[in-house]
Amino acid sequence: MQTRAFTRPCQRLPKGKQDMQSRVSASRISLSGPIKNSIAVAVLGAVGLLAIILWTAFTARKHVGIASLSVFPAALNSQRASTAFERMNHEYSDAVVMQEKEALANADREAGTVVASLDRAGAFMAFNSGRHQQIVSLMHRVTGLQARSRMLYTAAATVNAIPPKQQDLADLSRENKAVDTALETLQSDLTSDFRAELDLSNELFGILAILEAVVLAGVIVALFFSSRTLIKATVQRREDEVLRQAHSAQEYERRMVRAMIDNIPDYIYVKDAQGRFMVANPHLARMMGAETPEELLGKTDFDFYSREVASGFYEEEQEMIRSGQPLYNHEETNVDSAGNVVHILTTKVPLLDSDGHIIGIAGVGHDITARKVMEAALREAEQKYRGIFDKAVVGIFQSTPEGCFLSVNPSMAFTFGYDSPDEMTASITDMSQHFFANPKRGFEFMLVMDRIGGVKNFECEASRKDGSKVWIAMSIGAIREKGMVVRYEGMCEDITERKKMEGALREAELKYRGIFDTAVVGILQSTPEGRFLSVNPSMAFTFGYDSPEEMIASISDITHQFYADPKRSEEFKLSMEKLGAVQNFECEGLRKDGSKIWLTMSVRAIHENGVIIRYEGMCEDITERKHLREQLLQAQKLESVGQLAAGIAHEINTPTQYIGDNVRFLKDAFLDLKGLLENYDKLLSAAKDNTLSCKAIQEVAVAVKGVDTGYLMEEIPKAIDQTLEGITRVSTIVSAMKEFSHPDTKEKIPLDLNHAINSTITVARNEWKYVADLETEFDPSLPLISCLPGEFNQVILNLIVNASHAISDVVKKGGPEMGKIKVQTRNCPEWAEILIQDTGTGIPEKARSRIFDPFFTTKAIGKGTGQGLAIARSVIVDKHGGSIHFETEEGKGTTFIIRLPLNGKALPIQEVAA
Amino acid sequence: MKRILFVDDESMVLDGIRRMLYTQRNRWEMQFALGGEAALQACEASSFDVIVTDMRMPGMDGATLLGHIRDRYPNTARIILSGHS
Repeated sequence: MQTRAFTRPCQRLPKGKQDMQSRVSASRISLSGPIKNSIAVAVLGAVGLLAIILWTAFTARKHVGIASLSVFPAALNSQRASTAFERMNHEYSDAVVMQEKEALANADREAGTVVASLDRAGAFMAFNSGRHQQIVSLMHRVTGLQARSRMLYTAAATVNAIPPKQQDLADLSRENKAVDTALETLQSDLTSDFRAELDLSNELFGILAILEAVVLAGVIVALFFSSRTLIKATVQRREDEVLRQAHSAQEYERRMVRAMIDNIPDYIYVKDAQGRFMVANPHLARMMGAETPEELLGKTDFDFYSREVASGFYEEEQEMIRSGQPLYNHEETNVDSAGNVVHILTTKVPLLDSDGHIIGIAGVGHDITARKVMEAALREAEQKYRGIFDKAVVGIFQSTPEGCFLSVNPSMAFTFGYDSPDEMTASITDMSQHFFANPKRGFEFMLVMDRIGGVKNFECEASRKDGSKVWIAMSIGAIREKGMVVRYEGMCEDITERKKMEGALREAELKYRGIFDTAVVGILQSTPEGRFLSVNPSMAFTFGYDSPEEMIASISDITHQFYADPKRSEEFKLSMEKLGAVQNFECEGLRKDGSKIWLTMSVRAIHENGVIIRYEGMCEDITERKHLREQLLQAQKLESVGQLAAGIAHEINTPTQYIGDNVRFLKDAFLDLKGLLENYDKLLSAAKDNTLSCKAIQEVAVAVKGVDTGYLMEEIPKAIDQTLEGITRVSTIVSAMKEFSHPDTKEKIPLDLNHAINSTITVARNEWKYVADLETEFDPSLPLISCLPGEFNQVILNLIVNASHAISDVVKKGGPEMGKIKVQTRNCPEWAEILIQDTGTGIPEKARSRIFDPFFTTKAIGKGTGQGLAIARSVIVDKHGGSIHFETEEGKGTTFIIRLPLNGKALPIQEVAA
Repeated sequence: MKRILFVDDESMVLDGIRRMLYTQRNRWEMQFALGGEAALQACEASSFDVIVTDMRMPGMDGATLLGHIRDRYPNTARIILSGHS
């Protein structure tokens, strides 16, 4: 069986192990030898005692004693034979029927037992010749039965044999029964013999008891001496046994080692001092390209590897042989017979002979190629993740579930104000105390981690090294090993800035939302396509909607649903595209109920990638304001007209006065001339009648003398001329008044500016003529300009009146008695320019920036309401798209410059000149 | 004969008055001055019983003129003739 272990040791190894164990237990039994020895001594003593009793009995009742001693084992043997026979019988029949070789062998063995038992019984019964005869005959019968059964089996087991005859089987069965009966008979005979003997021997025991006591003393003495001898002999035997067992263990070990060497998946070899293989295992052989380890024996690495590789090994091994230094777990790289690179973890030790000389080396190589590959992959992965860990912008960390940092990355350390990750891990040993700024939040964190095993974007405030606080968001997972949480791993991001921004945003949002919601002006966002994105409540209410939502939902086409005049929508869009914004864009809008309101809008376009994505701005209901403005304009007009009325009355009164005077003179002169004419008539009649008397001539002469005809002849034409001139003056003033006020014209008409200005000058003549000479310089090439005449004239009037006032202030301050006003028109390429220049006081520096503001005036109370220039600006800039500005110098005068666009296109707004 | 001085800034007004009062040429000796300055010069040249002046005139207005007349010639009667009512 141990020989087979060499060939198939794998399967047999457990068995070998078993052997070894049984051996070990055997050696344990032998170690308890002294006990065994004393048992042996006791047995020996008992035997001695028995011998003495036997001897005594023999001498007393020789034949009876022998018989009783013989019958007992004989009965036993016969019983044993009977039992064995039964088994034998059974097994024979099995063997015959089932053709079982094992059963046959067993039956043979049992038959032997029967015969042996009977033989022993026979031996005991030798003194009883009758019984002995009986036993011997039974033995023969059993042997015969055995032979017949075997024969029958052979017949049954042979392939081409005829099946066993029924007759033979029946015979065998009969014989079986007979033997069985004979055995039983023998057994009962022997038992009855034994009983008889037993009764006899009982009588003998009385005598024997006395003898026993005598003998016992002798036996004890004998026992003492014999046991000493026996112990000695036993010790000797023990030693022999140990030696034998040691030899056997050595052999066993040798075989086990061989089995291991042959089957271990490592490279095992022994080389002599010259590098020749003395031992090699199959694994090594395979790697080196040999079929069996035996092929390697006696050869060197040079026979298998390239010279370079082989000499590397050789040098290494020679060095070891020289130095005696073993090589433990040395990694080497090799190429196997198939050309694959293999990594081997080698341990080589010098091999010593019994004298301690190095006679070679023993090596074990473990193939770690797979591990190496895995290691490389691991290293790569580790490097990759280490890179992420070290360079990540977010904090990455590991901690124990109890809250002690195991590792943090540089970003994390930096976030928390530590110089290095190590400093941080060393400083924070309990997160709940040193990390969370708010312990309650820390507790919540621990709770969530405990319950759910992870957090995502857990926001909290944490303490930095210097005690300042930082807002962080953490995403952490619990790492489990065997069901237990061993650590937390996660990320931590500094969100302080974001938090701040969020707060500021929220605040701003709230603030602007408030402005948006409560603003009195309308605020809107809309798409260029014509839908509202958002409107504020004020806007919605202005347009008669109940809510901003209703307004947004109701208006899907701003051009047609919001603008009263869709053309204005187009103008709005054009401005947006060209200028990107509109300022104070006035138009009429439609309310929900269809009524119209006046609006002013200031809106800008929001661009994204160069495309307008929406409009944003404000919208104000100026209907009321517009009405007020109209009323104000009207009021101012009335005011100036009222102011003018007195002057105009005077202007008309003057010619009326001299017209009346002249007409009265003409009436008187007519009467005078009539009387003279009557005298001449009389004279003519007398001359005709030839009654001409001196007296009559004298009368005419007196009449002529009384009339002063020379004076009349000279004055009457003049009086008529001056009367006509006076009438012209009156009609001029009247028509100028009419032209000035233009009550019928509410729309722009082409206007001759020169003519209009002249009319205004006429109307205002009484305002300026007492303080200034007025000079005009009109450019006759000036084309007709589209104007609102009434409002334009108002502006010119206001400026002339202002100029007159400025000059009269100079006069009052003791300056020259008459100033000068110069009104000019110029035809410029883009616009018509009107300059109204005065030699007045000039505008004080403080007032310059405010002169166009409504209600601002520098005039004495009652002399001005502060509307003149505000209206002038509104009319020129807002209504005519023109510009108005001024040049002034204190003490020298002011020039107002009005520019009106020739083509109706708005002019850029002029800066107020200093 | 009473001497009367008429003052106005408009010559046509003066012409008209002169012509209208032509019939009274035998009762009054009438002179005409175009504006306040001319009136004062006339007063210096000869005395007048009555001075009749317009109120609103460029340069020296009627009130100023009559003030001077009152100061210099207190015996001269001063009358304002104005288109303003």
